[in-house]
Amino acid sequence: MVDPIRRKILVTGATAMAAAPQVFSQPTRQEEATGSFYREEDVRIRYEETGSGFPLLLTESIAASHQTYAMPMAVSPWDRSRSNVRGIHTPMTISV
Amino acid sequence: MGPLEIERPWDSYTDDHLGLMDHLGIEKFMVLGFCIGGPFIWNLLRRAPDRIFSAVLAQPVGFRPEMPTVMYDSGMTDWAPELVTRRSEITMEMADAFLTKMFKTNADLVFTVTRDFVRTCQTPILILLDDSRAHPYKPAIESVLLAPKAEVSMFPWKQPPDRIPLAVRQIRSFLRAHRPAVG
Repeated sequence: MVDPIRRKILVTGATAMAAAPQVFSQPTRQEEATGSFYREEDVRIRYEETGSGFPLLLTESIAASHQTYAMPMAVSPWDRSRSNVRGIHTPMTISV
Repeated sequence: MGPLEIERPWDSYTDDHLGLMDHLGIEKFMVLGFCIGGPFIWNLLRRAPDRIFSAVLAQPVGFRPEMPTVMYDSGMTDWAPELVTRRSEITMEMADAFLTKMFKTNADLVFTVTRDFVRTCQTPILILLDDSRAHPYKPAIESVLLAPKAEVSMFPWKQPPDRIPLAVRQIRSFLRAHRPAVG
């Protein structure tokens, strides 16, 4: 389960985040076109899924500065037709 | 996108990783991450050890004593200005506080866990070594030596380029060896 502390913080606003409503606006058309979204309270996370099988969370795997290495390493290893892995990719910036 | 949790930056990211897995109905999973994904993964292993079958940390971020502020500095130079431009409610002062908590408070080894934790970590991990400013060799190899179920890549694995397929093959083999048998 998600750490309840975070959700409590989100509800009470006890951090120094100063979360203005416009920050958590709806995703843009471009964003919607590039993946799915998980929403929890004021958090919105874009993610992409490929393949099927045992889940593999890919975090920071396709950051722009690492693209040269990330693509062959993050995509090839779970070669969808052979390795039965469900890849879940989250982009570089998750919380912020 | 979400709030900037200045008092718990690493854990806020981990909340998001675990929250996403919960959202997808996934209890157990493998994880692979580059760069800052290294500290993220260590924190996942600390917070949810029973949910992670295995982990691959590629060129992980680590603490470099001879350049103690390199991660903070690059965050303030590259990440923070872009964030502040994109998120009008966030100031450079807030980004400063966030990065200070991340990279200057308890700065050591891999930032998110202690050596004692690494020594007791029973999750199989594979670390692909690097030795660049943000991805120092020393904490990565120290983690390999401490973690009881760690494996390590050749070094260097990115140069010459014909070594990369060998690293990919190692990742494939490692992930195949450390996941539930396909029924």
